[in-house]
Amino acid sequence: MPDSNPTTTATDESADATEPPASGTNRAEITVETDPREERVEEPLLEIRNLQLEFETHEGTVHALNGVDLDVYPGEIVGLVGETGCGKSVTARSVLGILDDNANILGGEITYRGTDLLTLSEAERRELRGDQIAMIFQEPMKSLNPAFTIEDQLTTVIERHTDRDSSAARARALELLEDLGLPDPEDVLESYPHELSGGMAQRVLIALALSCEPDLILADEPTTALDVTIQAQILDLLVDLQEKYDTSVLIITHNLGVIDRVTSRVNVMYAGSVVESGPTGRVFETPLHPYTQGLVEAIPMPGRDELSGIDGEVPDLDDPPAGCRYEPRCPVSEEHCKTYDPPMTVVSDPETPERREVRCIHYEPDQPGDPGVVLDE
Amino acid sequence: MSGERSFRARLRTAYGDWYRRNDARIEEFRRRSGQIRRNPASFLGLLIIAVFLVVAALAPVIAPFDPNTTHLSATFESPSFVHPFGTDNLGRDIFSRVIYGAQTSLKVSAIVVSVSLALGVPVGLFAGYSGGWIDEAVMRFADLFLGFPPLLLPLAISLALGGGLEIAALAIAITWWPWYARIARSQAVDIREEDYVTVSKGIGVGTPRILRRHVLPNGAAPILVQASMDVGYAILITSSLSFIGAGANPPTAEWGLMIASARSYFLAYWWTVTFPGLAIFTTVLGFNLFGDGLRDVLDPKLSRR
Amino acid sequence: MKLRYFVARRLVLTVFVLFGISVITFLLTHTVPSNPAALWAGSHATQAQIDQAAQQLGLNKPLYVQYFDFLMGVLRGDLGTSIRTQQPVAQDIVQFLPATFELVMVSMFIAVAVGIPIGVLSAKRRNTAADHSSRIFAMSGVSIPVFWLGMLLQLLFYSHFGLLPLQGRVTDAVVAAHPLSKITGFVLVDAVIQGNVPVFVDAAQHILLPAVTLSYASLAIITRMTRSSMLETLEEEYMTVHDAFGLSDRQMTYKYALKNSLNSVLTVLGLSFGYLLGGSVLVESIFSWPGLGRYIVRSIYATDYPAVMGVTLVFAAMYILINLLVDVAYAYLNPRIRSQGGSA
Repeated sequence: MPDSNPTTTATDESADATEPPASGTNRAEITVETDPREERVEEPLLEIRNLQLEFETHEGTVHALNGVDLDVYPGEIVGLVGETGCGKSVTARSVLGILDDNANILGGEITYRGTDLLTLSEAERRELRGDQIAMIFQEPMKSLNPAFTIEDQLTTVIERHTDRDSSAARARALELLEDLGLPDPEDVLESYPHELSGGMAQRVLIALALSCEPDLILADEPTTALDVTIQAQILDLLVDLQEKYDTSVLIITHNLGVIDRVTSRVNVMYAGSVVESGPTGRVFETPLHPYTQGLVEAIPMPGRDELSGIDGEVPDLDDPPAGCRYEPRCPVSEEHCKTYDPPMTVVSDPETPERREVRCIHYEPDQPGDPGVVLDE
Repeated sequence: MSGERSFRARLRTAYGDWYRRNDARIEEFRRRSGQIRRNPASFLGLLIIAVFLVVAALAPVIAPFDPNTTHLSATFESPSFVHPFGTDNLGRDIFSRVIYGAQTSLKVSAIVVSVSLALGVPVGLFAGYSGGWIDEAVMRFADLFLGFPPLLLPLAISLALGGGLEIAALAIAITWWPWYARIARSQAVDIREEDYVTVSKGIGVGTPRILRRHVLPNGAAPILVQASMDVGYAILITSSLSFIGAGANPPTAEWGLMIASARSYFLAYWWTVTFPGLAIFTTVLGFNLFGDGLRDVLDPKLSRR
Repeated sequence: MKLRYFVARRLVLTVFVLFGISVITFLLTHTVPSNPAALWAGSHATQAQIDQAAQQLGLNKPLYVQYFDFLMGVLRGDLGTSIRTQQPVAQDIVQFLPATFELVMVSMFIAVAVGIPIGVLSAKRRNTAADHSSRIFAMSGVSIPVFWLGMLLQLLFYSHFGLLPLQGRVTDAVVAAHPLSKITGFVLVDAVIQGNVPVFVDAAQHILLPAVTLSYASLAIITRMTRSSMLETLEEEYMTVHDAFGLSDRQMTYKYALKNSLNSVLTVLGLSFGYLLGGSVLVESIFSWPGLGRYIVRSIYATDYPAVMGVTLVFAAMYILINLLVDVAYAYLNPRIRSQGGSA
């Protein structure tokens, strides 16, 4: 079973210390009446609440996001995992505001440092891009402009957001490439993208993301297009750099192994909304949502005789189910699930002080206002 | 009695069979023609082409006057009810001449396109399918023809062969077949990698049959698009050749020739050049619009020339 | 692959094509049904005179010998003698080429300077009124007969408005009053070099209509090509990346997108040059522009074979060389292409 990531944040400890158990009974039966968010000292860097989005296409309207809730706290590496098409990339691009023209945001908020990005003007959002929030893209060879050198592409961004002049920008670019472990950074600067290997190009993309020292990095499938051997290198590099630059990273991937390797918290996404979130180790050990359970079951492991999968298919998003979107495939679904789409519910886990949430009718308290569900030992 | 019924019944089954066998194709055709109809530009093109074809076919019926009869007393009359396009330097009715010009143009462009296709497509398909040195050799040979600027080679050939409208048409076709050979060749190169071709080869199907039944139908799309626009371009080039004297000879009612004849006096008599030119422009535009729409329908991914 | 190697390869190919062109031209000149000797001797010649002409022209020798002579002649710069002007064709060509070249260059300039910006704008404002009108304009450009367009413009700007001259390259009176010495052979350039403003203005007025007429079709093609190329480029992932890092719209369009789009446009430029050469035949005829185009038309009316073939050969050679230059430029701008051996 995967271990929990040892780099827990300081907030865990402080949460214990500040708020005594409400009912005074032993920890195994803690019920949560106060909002555990208040236990966390820091404000989240990024708060996405109930983000809803649709795309207008020739074939109809695709309801891509169905109320996404997601937090990223300062200094952490958080995962966003889900199948292809579940909306993870779309969510990240909404944060930056670089969606296609046919995308419509129907509702929700994307709060960054207290400001709802959706209320900002295009010019204001443009200022943030690259400077405070940066993205690492998936396919390095397609993400770099083939007609310009690496130097040009790096320095243009650096000069855009910082006060450096061209020689200082170049020096900074060189420094970044060194940080990323590229041999012959001078050579790389003078090269064109097609002259680099996939791994090198991905490092350039990471350098690009770090170039203006953003507070938040959205890494969209940063290793998917690379060879397996390189993937591990890049991931470890990301962890080191995150610590060095003290940024937060949201890693988007469909690969559970990646999540396990680098993240401390994970959000599981399905068909347009986050269905479960919590500390990585605990989510893998004790998955709450039926989908997460299916995912974890499906991991091939030594000792398992059979490969299992999840029956059924991802719903067609131009005509999604009315209620819970997982219902058609859910082994424990109920009649009510067909018409009822539950909100995120907090669940208390005795094994960890960190918050765990899940979007499933089975974890909702019987009456609103009742204490939340508690997991058994 | 029963014989009649069985005849009708047989007819019905015959057609019914045909419908069933071609159901998918009919559906496809309907869908695609619908697309053309919906696109306003290509629909306009289709209309223009239709008008052109009708006028060309029914010229003797539609034209109010004989195109070659001169009326030296009625020269340079400005447009009127009797002569909607006016008369030219020999008193001929320009409206009628424009109508007969459509017939001339249709004849010429038909020759040009069909000869080019007949020469170019088989050569191109064969070259592309065979690959190797045959492909190289044929393509280099085709490149020779493409090395001449557009008007010049037809000009030179036409002149060398004596001039005249049919000669000019032939000259243009000789210059054009390499374009089709090229397109056909690149289609063949793409298609020869397809599985159904490999399978056919494997079970021993001969090359001509493969070319005919597999390569040609699947590769036809860009060729058709090009051909439909080329009907227009053929008219454009023939009229250009006629204009400089290497095409139609007087007194043929050919649009380019009509404009050439009016060169000395058009400044004073604007209608002598405006209407023939308008005819060329409209007709070519029609074929272009239609061809463009056809391209979008048949394959939106086709690269633009 | 190094650029040098690429250029060498293309040069060899070009020489091959030039050879082929000379063969075609030769065949047209020497194997026509009509009798060149009779033509040369004139319409009232006796049979003996015709035979003598045939002897002179070397028509009795076997075909390949004739070709060899022809080729040697071409390489020496001898393209035969014009029946009409009685001068060596090569000399005529040298005399009339600058005027055509100037016209073609100005037209090319117009096509590019107007076509590319319109194409870019059209791509950025896709499916708006501006886009649709530019597409209609482009479509009309390739549908309109260039000689008719010229005449219409003459009707409009000379006959009706009286704004621009009807024909010719300069007004004799103006040149007489402000003499111009011939340095490059290009009136506009020479006038600028010598600071001769009146002649420059006059020449500019004269070249305006012909150049606009000639450029129209190429303008249309370049606009279309720029538009579609830009649209393709704007779909690319790297454009999203540029956007994700907050680059300005202007920087993204005019620096990053344009450079990628211009590749296709460059290819079209080579093709356009051919259109311009071919079109110059028609345009010069209408505007009485004293260039090779008008020369060739007059040669046609006089069935002056040597002249027609000579000019055709020269035009073709120019066209092929320009395309070679375009290919080399393309390879220079695109290091990736070099290793693939260049365009087919």
